[in-house]
Amino acid sequence: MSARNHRVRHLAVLSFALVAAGSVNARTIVAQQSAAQALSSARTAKAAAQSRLATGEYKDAATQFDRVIALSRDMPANVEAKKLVSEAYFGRASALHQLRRADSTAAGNPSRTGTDLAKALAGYDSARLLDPARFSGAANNNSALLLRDAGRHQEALSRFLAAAQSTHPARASFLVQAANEYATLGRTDSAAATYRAALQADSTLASAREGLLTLFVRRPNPDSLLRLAARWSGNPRHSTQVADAMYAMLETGSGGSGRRGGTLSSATADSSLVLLALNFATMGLGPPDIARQHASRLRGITVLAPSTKAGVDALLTAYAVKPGVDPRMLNAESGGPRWWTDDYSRRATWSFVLRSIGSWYDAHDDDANALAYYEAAVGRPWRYNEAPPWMDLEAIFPLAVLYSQPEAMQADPGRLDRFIDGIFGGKAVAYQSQDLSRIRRFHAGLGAFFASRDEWSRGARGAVFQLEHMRDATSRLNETSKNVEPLRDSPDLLAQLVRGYCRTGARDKAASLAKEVEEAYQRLGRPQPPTGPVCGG
Amino acid sequence: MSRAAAVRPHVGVRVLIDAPLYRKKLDGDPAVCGAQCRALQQMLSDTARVLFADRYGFVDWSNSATDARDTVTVRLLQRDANAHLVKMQISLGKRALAFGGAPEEMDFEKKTYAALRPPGDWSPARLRAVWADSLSRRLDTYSERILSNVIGRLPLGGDVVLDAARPSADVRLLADSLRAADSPAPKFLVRLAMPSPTPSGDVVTDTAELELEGCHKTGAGYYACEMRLFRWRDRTGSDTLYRQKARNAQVSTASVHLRAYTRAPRTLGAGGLAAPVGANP
Repeated sequence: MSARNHRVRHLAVLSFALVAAGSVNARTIVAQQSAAQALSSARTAKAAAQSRLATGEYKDAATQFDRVIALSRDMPANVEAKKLVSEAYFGRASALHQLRRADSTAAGNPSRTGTDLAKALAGYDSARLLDPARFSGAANNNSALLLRDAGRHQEALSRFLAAAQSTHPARASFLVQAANEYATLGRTDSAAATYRAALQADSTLASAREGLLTLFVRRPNPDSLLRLAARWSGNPRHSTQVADAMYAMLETGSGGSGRRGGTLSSATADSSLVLLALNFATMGLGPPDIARQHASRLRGITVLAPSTKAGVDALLTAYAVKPGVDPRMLNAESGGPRWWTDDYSRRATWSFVLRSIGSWYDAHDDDANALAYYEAAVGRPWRYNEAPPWMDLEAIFPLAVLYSQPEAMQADPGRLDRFIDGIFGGKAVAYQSQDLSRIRRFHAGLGAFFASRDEWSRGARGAVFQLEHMRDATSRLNETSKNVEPLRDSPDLLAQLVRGYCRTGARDKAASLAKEVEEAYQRLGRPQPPTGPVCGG
Repeated sequence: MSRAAAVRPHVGVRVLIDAPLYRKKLDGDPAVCGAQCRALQQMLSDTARVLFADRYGFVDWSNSATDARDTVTVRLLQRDANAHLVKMQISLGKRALAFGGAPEEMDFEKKTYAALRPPGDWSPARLRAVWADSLSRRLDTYSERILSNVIGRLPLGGDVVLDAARPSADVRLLADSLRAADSPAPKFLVRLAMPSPTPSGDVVTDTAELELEGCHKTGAGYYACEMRLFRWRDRTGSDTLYRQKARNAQVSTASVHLRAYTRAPRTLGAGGLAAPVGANP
């Protein structure tokens, strides 16, 4: 071989080697370009899918999500790609889920729909397996909904319970769904326990409360239902549900069978009516509301539960749109309907009902009826010149305000003093029996009244004294009941006490209490905007 | 979705401060709502819209009171300058009268308490914060009355099919569009046009109300309910009375309303569907 030939051959080998090396690089570059292209296409497809999902084009959305999943083979193994794919699986499952629901709406029957249930379930499962922290709660819940709607309750239950194990913000709602499945499967004790767990996770969840009440109405357990209803009766947010449960109990007449005309004991029927009335008062219903929504229903109850007749009659008389009797006669110390007044606890409820009717008239500018009902609520005139122990203490403030109106003072100048004296008398009785709860409420009512009159420093007849004693009673009550949620004084009343301290020159006390008031408002989720110096500089 | 939006009435909200006590404290003139008073009205109108939207998801609450057909008015008023209570009245416009709506009134503040408020507190920003709270608590406490007589009287875009043989009815409203919780289930009020012959042979059509309870979602996504109370003229009864009055009459649905309502949890989407952690439901 000549030297030239040798050189040519060497160059050929070299150039082959260079070409070969270049080809490897090119393959890598092509692969990288292809992965980037796949990622970009997947992003575009996902955006299109989400927009279709938002506009209700579920079929197209599922197709676009399918595209993202198909592109995953070519995508790089990085965090963004994994996120895209998991979202695509979840999105496709959601689209199929919605499509299934839309189909069932059109068909009128979920079992007739042809949409692939298995594919939707598999999508939720894939998303959950790819990113459990993000998808576990939602994917398990949504799968459970699919299974529930398909009548597969045992599997739905397992999935709802798994969803409830997650940290998803709707965890409490997942527990309610699990409880519903327990109830459907006839496991009522587990259902009750799970509703309670849901309420522990979120005490505002109306569906958990509803579930528990319905459960107790359906199974023969009137005592549990009444206990639960009594506990929830003081809160207007729960009142409609409690009233519905009481109606259900009275109207089915069973406390268990769910059939009309069952055997409800008169004690249970009477207690149900008492709780029903308590909830009318809690909701602040007035005579027109009762006439329109409840009168006919209440009359119906008397047929099913005859022991309630006298109670219902008195209730309808009290709520009459045009009172036919002097409201004072509804609760006079001598007289008043015996069904409501013979028993101490019923009489306390009756006082609350009459006070709430008084409040309704008060808000409707009917001072004469407001006054009459407030007086009925407190049982005036008092036989022993002191407030009776069953009296609703919320009546103190509005009645004292009405007594102190110029026209009322002119009509009977001594009435306000006699009333306040009687309230002090009732408070003394509460002190004798060391009834801290009532002591506290007496002080609160008197404190609010004296503050409204700008009377701060007349000893026991001043707002500062009364509100300070209210605080003292609160802390004593909290000391005696360590294991329950501590009672807290109304920040509105404490703000009055701050004002009282300012008016009486106790600036240090005012400054210290003002901080407490601010914290109390914060705790209630009612932060107040900043003011200037506490006592106005 | 368009189908869902059509169900929900589009409603504006406005707050009016008519109480002479407040007007005087804010701007010095009990007869006129001055600059401070108007600023407070505007702030509170926005607050009220948020509070209503939070509670009544079946309404499309508008940002403007002028572009909506119906407006909910929250009025703070006194019967006269000496009245010991400032009241809050919630009402709908005149159209609501056709749906049996009536203003709801409740106490808002004792005059003596308002009089005790320090002068520095009579600013729109401070009063907005304090009154937003008062408004919110009253919406909760009197929710039954407010829904029953005011907000629930807004007509929904849907129809009701009454069963001729049984005391049941299908409410043809897509459940998801109401943003209602499955439990407690909503209750409905149907206003019915009831034609009845007079002794002279004429036919008079007046309106009756039928309450539907015990509702549950059907497979089709609507509601199946039981008939409960029937009210016609001054009579109230059960479905039996309805059947008696509807016999041989061409009864038709005049409007559909909500009688009880619990909003679906905000953490979940329509039908209880959950979104992944970190996404909006």
